[in-house]
Amino acid sequence: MNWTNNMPARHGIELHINGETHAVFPKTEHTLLEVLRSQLFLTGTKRGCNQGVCGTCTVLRNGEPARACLTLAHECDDEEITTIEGLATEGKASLVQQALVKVSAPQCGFCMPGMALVATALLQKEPNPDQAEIREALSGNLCRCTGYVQIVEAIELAAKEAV
Amino acid sequence: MTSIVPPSEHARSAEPDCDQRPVSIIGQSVTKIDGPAKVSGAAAYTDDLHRPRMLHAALLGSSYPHARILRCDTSAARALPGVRAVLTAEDIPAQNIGLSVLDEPILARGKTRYVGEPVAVVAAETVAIARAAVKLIEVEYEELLAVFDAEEAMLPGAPILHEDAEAYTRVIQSPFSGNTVAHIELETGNVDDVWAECDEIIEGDYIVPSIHPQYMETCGALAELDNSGKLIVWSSTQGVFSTQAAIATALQIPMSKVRCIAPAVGGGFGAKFGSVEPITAALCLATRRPVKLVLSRDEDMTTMRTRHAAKIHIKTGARADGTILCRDINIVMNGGGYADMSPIVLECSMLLAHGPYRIPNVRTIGRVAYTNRMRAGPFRGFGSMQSTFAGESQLDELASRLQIDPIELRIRNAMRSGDYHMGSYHIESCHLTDCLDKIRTDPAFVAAKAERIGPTGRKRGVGISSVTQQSGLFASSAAVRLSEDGTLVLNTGYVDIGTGSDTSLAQVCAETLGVDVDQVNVVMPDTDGLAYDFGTSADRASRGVSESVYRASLAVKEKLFQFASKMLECPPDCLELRFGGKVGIEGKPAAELPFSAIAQWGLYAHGGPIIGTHAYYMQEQLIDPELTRSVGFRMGGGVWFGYGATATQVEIDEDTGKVEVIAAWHAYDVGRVINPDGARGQVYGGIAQGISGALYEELIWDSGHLTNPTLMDYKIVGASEVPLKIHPLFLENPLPDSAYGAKGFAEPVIIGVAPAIANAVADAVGVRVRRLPITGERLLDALLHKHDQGGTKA
Repeated sequence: MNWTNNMPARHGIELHINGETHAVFPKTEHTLLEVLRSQLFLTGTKRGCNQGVCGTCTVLRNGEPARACLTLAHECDDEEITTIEGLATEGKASLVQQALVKVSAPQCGFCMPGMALVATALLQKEPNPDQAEIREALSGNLCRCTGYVQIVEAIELAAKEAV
Repeated sequence: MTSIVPPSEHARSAEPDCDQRPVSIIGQSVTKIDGPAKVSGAAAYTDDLHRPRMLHAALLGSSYPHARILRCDTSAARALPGVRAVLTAEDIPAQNIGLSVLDEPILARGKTRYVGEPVAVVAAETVAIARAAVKLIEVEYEELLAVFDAEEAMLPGAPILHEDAEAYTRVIQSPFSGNTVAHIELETGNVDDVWAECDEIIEGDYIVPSIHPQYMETCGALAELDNSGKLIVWSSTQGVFSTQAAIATALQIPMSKVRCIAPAVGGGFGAKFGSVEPITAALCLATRRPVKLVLSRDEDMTTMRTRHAAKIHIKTGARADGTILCRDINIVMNGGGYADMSPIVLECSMLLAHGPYRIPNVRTIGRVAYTNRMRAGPFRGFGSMQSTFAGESQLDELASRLQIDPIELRIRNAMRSGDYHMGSYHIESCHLTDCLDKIRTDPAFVAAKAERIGPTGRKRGVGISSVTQQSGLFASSAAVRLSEDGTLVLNTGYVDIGTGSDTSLAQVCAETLGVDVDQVNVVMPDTDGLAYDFGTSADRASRGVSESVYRASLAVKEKLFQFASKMLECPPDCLELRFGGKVGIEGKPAAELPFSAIAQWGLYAHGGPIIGTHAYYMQEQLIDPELTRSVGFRMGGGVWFGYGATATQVEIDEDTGKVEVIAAWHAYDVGRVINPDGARGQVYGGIAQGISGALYEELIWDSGHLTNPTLMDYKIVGASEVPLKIHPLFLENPLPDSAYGAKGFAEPVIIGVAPAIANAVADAVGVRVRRLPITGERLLDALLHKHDQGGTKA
């Protein structure tokens, strides 16, 4: 009977996700991505390659972008994690999210959560990034539909609207 | 339930000040209706769905490219705690499926034809248990000689993949034999007679590799049983009806026992026409529990579909003034282990191979072969990307020899409105010359053309390619129903895989009925819905489906007027539609009824629910045998041919051979732009995907084993490699006799990118690369040895 997730014998951790604390009991080899998707059902964090290349699983660990598929859940004990579900404030989409919608950036949408989180982290560090800085920040996140152009436009718009 | 108010009350209380929409909603950048859910993480894709007691599945793939299965022992896997089912071919009906030839078992039966081909599948309580069980399955194979190259596969004595080919049911009747899936010939004029009249003859081979679509969401499915024992299958598909048919055929159950639904789909690019749905459904029937199977990236890359690798030989003859007299074209495509849509992809490739030009003599011979690689299938461009790379590369070689400007050469030969394509398809509207001219005169292009050296001293060049593609194939339909609060329900069955079709179709419905887009409920694609749709392909949303949405909306309007006429006691021809969902009497602003009152009158008083439907099949033009002789060509195309051109500017690092695309232009006659932001997004994405295929992508096999089945080893274009300047140039020559004039344009954006880059490279550094991708290594080799790379020279 080794398929249940909350075996008491496992070492429990606390994850502070989007301002809520979750006590979880991951196996040593469980990634943050598995815990988010399969235990907490926070499915906005996507699995695109499970290898750290595509960036669809991007979350913020203490404000820094991280690949949830390459992060062991145990590494995140007591950390502040932001997932895409945590970007809105009281149901209101963040400036980055609003800008993405406004310029019609989403096509298939699968890369969008990762893109929105990378953009959020970028704008926190550099409120007025230029094109090259934006593209550099997005360079670890793959998108097959948009050619990245409207994602870059959205980040520029969000930066402008934040002023 | 909304209360029923007598019609006269509504007429009195109506406000007369907002009766007209300020501007048409067609041509407005309406916010995409799925946008908010996609940026908030709320949009649910197949792998985001969970069901109580859901099992997880894992596949066992073949270890050999070609082998007989002697024995398959699943007993150890079955004995593993948590395993609920293990299936092999012996546990399911001996029934093949396939999109053109029924040649493919859902689990290998008797033999395997490519590495990774599913041999067995496990359903277990967790993914980890399912994967562990797969490792316990013992398969004994007898390895057979394999063949990987398409031309070798068609030689006498090559190992035969499908010994039973003669017995297969064929949806598409193409001439076949041995490993040749389809052998098709087309000739217009008489190519052999005109070589002597040509002042210049040029020929060469052009090579396009297999690439993977790399949709960000891998293929997957979730199957469960509903209260009546009917299968419900949620999957990442671009055609719910073809998926339903495949499941029903594979499992030998009626389609009435299968319901297919597409939740959010993370891209498809042509390649998601059925994947693991039948296998997942089989596990669900075997366990009577919900089952989910989602492929890992490497499984998807190893077992789904590739774009066809192609080797194309073209010989072109022209007069000294650039008039092209003839083209002789030979296309060989690698179809992989199963036919899938190969014969149709080949036909499309052949039909468009000579380019959108007035060429009196054209002969095209096409063959596609079975080989021991994963199947090739539809991919954005649908065969014409491969042949356009060859044809448009060679046109620049011809232009160079004749010392004619490449754009000028194309304009001199371009088709015009009223011409016939391949001597058979009448082309009502062709604005190719306008598109070429639009790029030629674009100030940014003029400046780029003059710029031979970049700021860091690297050489720069520009290149052009004409583009043509068909749109609007096959069958579409729409059902529009008025709800009692006056909002609308729109059902088409069309899957929005990221193209924005849900929004543009809602725009068509909203425009026709004078309401806002948010008043239209676009129903998730579901085979239990009323409308049928062939699937997301060939730009069908803007060409075929929108036609049905328009006509179904008109039917609703007619019913609204019929009911309102009785309610307002006024003849229907005195009525008008007023913006905001109202019907009023012309010239009497106060006399009007909201849609809600009319709907309720129908529901609770007279006439019944207001439902409009429309069904559509492409206006098929068959080739005229008097003008074009053919062997095996059956495509009833000619629905709509779109025309345009793509240009790029590149910068070359001559020390490394690295090519950087620094600007791109795409001019296309789209008929009418429905949603400008959505439209330019399709251009940006198509250009980026084209750059990726031209410069980086290639699936590489070693003895049948894919050596680069990960995104780590298979590079796709990133944000830093997409040019800052992409110029979408839309020409709007509305399609006659259509709702809003849209012609379809998003798919072909990719077609001209690779030849435009190859031509720009030749313009910059004077060497020609005839093999994709144009890697640094290939270009450097050509530069160092001062020879052209790829095919044989003329």
